[in-house]
Amino acid sequence: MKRYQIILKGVCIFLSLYFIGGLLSVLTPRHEIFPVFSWFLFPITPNPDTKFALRLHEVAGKGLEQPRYYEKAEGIVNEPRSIKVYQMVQKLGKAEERDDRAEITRIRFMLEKNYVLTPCRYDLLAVTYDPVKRWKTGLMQEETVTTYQAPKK
Amino acid sequence: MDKGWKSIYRFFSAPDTADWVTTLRMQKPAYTVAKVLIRVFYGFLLYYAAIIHHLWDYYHNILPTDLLWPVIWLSALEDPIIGVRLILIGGFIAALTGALFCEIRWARVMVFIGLLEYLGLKYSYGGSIGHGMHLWLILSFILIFLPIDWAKTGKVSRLTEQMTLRLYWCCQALVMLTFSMSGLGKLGGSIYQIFIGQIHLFHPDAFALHIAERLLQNNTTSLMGNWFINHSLWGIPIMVVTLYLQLFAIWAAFRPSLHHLWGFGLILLHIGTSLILSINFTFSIFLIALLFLYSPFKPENVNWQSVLRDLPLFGFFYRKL
Repeated sequence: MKRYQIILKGVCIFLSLYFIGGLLSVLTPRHEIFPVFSWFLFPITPNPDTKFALRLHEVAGKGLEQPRYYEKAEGIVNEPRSIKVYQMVQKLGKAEERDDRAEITRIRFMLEKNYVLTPCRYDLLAVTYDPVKRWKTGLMQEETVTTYQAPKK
Repeated sequence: MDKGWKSIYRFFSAPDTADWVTTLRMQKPAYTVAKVLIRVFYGFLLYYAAIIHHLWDYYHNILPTDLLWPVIWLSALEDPIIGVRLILIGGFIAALTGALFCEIRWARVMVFIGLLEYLGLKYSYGGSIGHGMHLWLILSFILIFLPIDWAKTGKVSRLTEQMTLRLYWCCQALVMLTFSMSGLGKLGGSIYQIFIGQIHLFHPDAFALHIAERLLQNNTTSLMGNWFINHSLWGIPIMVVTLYLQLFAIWAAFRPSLHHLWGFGLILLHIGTSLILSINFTFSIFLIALLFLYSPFKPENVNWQSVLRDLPLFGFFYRKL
């Protein structure tokens, strides 16, 4: 019966640790100590706010006739609808706000290695919008934060 | 120490749990069902390993640039693609071994490591970490601790049955705990937004804002998203029911009469997020079905009175009637 008691206590301790670890993981840069996660999915209702986006001018050495948003560059970039890229761009924008050069270099390396192939030229935009209005009318304000250019790697 | 655990268990437990004679009578059939479901669990992981085969080309043309800790060793290799191949092939062999020999602990350890390595790789390409297979991974860890003779045919000791069932329940509780944590995050987020005067979860426009923001993020569409953006009020009951389901999920883990209802509700929630937000948790749907729709702990005779009595919040008032 001692083994059963150990299992019983182990179960309680494991669940408690997962709960505490999950909550604490919010404090880490990735918001997760893989695979321990807070499971805070959609905790904040989106309000009118400023987000970041990429506008492409040149990808893999090919200039675009019309500059295009990354997520609308079907056939030009790898995985235009990737949520990973969206998250990376938000981090890039925040790193620019803090002028964190190391983080900017790190994120640009990830972007340009797999998604926006070099040689490339693209803008980082700060886009301010109300999600519902933008969805219905396309209304938004955009401001160029900076332009990146990368030679063939 | 024992007193502390018992107090926690009593707090969560249903007000009138079955007597010990009934509990012991139910143990054998519950154990038989749990054994089958655990085998299905490992069978599914083999299926998962098989269906990700089509991604092999993808992983050969993309470099992991943001390594998670389980695959940090890839950085020591001159050609990381060799390590990627090792993870993919090793993961498949582990899943195959697990499906064939899940009664052996080492096979279950292999499954856990194989899945940990594969998911570590999958989320090492920058951006956010997806969570579609997290629960499978954590459950594969819990199931490592099944007793040695859990899968034995013929007569096994009552202790083995009890330990197997307790670990199975741990899997159920872990899944429900994650939903409760999600609900807690939504509730906390809403309270915060109410205090700072922002549009919050209970605002009539909240549902439309969530959908529009999600679909705009990567220029995607969903079957029902546009309709709900234009008819946001319909989102209020959906949001309230979702919060109730999520917040009290851990409560339902302690009440077998609610397993079926909560399983059904959470499956509907996942189908809804797919149809409305274009977020797919298809593997979680299968897991919830496995754990709750076919729960080995579901009482033989569940009626609507027992369900109502055990419901969080409403059950309190029902019992007073």
